[in-house]
Amino acid sequence: MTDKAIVSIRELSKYFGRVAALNEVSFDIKAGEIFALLGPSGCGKSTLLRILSGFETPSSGELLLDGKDLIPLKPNKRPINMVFQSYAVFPHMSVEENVAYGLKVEGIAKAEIKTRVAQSLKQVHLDEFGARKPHQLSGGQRQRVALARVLVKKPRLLLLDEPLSALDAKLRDAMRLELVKLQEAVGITFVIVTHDQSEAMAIADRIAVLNEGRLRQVATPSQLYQRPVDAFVADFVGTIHSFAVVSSTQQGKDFVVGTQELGNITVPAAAVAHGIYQLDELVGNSVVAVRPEHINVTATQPANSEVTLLGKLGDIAFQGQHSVVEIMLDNRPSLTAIASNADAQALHESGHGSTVWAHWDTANMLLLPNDASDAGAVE
Amino acid sequence: MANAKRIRDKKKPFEYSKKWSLRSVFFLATLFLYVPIVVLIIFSFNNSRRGGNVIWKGFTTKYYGKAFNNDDLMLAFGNTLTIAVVATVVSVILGTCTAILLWRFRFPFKPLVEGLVSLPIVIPEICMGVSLALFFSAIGWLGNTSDIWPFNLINVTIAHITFCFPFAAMVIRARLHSFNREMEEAARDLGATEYQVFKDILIPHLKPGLVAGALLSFTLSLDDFIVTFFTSGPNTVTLPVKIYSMVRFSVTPEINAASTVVIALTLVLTVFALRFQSKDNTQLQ
Repeated sequence: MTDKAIVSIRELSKYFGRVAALNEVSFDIKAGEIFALLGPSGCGKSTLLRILSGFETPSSGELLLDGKDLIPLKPNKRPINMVFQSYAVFPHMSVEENVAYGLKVEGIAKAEIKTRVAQSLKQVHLDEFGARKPHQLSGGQRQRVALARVLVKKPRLLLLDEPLSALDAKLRDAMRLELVKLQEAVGITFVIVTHDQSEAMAIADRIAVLNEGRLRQVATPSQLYQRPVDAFVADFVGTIHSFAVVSSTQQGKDFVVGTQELGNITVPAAAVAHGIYQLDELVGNSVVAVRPEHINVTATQPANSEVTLLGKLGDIAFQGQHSVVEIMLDNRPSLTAIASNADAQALHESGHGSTVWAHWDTANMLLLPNDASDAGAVE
Repeated sequence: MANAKRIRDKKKPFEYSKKWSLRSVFFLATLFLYVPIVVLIIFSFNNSRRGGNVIWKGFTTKYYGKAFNNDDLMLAFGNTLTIAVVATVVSVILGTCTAILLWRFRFPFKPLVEGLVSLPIVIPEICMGVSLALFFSAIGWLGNTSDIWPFNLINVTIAHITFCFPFAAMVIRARLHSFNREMEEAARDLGATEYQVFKDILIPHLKPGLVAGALLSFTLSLDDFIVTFFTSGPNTVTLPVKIYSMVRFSVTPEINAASTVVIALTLVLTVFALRFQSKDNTQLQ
């Protein structure tokens, strides 16, 4: 992977009437990477994908591919191809005809089409299925046809719209790995749209998180998880328990923030999200948060933990490698903690509703603004 | 045991075929629908000078020969087929254009246009016949457009298109509703021009609708009497109009024979179209 930008998106906006589907979004996609557009439904990720493919025209902003303006080009003139969510495999054509279609309309010689189609079908392990009609294929095989059909065009950019959402759980896991391997083999830049954070984390080299038409963060999966820019991103990429900040002071480099449930907490400077508000703006606009895997649960009072919360034992969910323990609190939604199966079993024996302590170290806490994109604004 | 038997005798919820009331409705409907047709076909082989005579006088095929040698009847038959073929082709093309227009585009007064398109379906045929006759006579086309066949059939053909194409448009539009717009976008994305999308993706999808629309138009045109009666001249008589005038004169087995040929023709076409469509549907699953 090089660091060269293949796609540059600059202050791109798209309005439908007066509603902004995209609001001044800017970022780069690097050549040869798998880039994921992640966000809840209605966040603008599909609009962005349709702008990239040419089916929507942005209201303002720049869109460059290899430094050249892409906006005036019609969808059929762009070196960008897309795997649609419904796969959109042509039902009246055989698998081979489907894959050949993009080359046929390009006017490529028949002999070359034949070799390229065969090569492409081999790449997706469908070389035995060339003569079949789409209705004779399974959903997973139809998706492979859609993939072969775009790979054969050798595009600069390959777009995938929710590629795994229609597959069953087991096939989805297999296809995740296969997509990554395929991308490595062909070296084409992939852009994947998804609402499933675990899918994006598993596949992508980098992820752009979008919400309500605005870009929240572009980062690698581990950065996104460990160093989210705000509470929305932190919550969207995985479970996090947050506590509203009600007071704030600074001690040297560290922040001391007060919360109703936990009292005063000293947050080390390293755990403060980049671009946070001024100290006097923290109250009401930010939270301190902790992920379930950092919370310990014990039936006896812990000897030396920095943060301690007294609660009652709730449900215990067995998850295979570990268990998820619920801790019910009096005045706020319950917490969840990840515990080893042995610890969970010991807690289970003390009984539902028994008193337990949830405790963790402040080093594992994050101080996050509610919304980094309007930091400083009053809600 | 006795209990088990009672359960077995009880009618299941959807076993309508076991109800006597429904069975008799079915029987009567079949009787009134098909017995006259069967009688018509049987008596086309009756060796009797009078077709209205329902006394069997032995088997003969001579009235088929007579019908085929009746120049007036054959001219009417040729006219009917020519008009039906031309009206079908034009109706399907116009119907496809209309259906795509109404499905794809938004424009002012669209509900009005939709209403106008389906108006010929609901207007009583007699009104259409009269208005078309008045229209053609107003522009001087009634009966004397041309002396050369088949150009003399132009007004009857136009009249047939006016009532055939709304049906074709309706059937094709219904088919368009099941079209996945992502197919069109996928083809565009792969490099196809608008025309290539239409030719390679949309038309193959529409094929069952086009066949159904064509069949509907063809049969509507083939057996139309009222509109044709008002718009045809002495040399542009169609088979239904000709048979009507022959019946008024006298009923001969020749008419039975001609009608049987028309029935056979429609049956063959229908079977052909149905088989074509069922084959296509399995492909589109």
